[in-house]
Amino acid sequence: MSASDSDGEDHHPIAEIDRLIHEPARLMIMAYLYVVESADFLFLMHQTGLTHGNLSSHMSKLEAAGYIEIVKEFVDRKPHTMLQLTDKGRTAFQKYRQSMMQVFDDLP
Amino acid sequence: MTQNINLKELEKKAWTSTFEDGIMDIGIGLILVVTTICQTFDDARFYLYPLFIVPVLFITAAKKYITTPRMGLVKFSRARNRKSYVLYLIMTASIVILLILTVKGLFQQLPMTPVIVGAIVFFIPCSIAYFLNFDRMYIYAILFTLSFALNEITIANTGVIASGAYAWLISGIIMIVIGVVYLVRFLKKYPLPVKGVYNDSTN
Repeated sequence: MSASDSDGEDHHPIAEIDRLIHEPARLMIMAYLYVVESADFLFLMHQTGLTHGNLSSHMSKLEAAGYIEIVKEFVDRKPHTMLQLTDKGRTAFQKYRQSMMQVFDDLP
Repeated sequence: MTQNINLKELEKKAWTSTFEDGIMDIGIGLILVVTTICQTFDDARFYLYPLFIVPVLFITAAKKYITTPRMGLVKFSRARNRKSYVLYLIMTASIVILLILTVKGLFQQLPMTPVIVGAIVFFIPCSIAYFLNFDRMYIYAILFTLSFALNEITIANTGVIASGAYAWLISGIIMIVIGVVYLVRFLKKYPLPVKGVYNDSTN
């Protein structure tokens, strides 16, 4: 899914940028989940300002890529769905940050 | 570097959003109201001390039944939790120092007792403000200290302990009013979602 996969031999920092994360809404979701341990759907919706449908759609893409995982846990003896970054997602986000910084550092 | 700052800001924004409900303000205001009651009925203060459980119960219940259903649930990072533990440690140490000084009767022997207690009264809310990024608490720290000073001056002038209680009540009411304003804004900003809707996509 990342740009580097599609471009094959191209190792320029821009080509390394993960396009799945690069989309602004998904970048915001990833950033929020990166700075907290986990959050539920409602909290993310309020923080990102995304609509229910939008957030749901982006979540599905990130989940399909293995970047986020859904954790079922009990809060006050009631089942609750929490979302968190997977190790793969965390690594991908860190790599994305490095790539972006490198892109701008390389600018004349 | 810019990325680091932005992520820190993002985490801070998520964290401080948990204070948008005004529940803490109301809870702390209630603590001052209970302090007023205890000081007004000084002879029965030991029977009234259990009233301090009321603000604690209020904060716990309000967060559970008002804030979380509207705002959602979040678990913050270990770094954020570490800050909270440091705060608990400072608060516990301050309370233990105050208790030791009171029980041992050392307050009577110290020459600058009101200044020392006043400094602790100022220091505790400032620590809360700093470690919890709860900026309104800096203003409350000033209110606390002013109330303490007013209380001490009134008692010194009248010789009656109950007479200074109004100082705590004024600050308590100010905090409760601020908290209610925040709470009303919070309720408007975060209406109760339709049950089950927001979990559909994540299930």
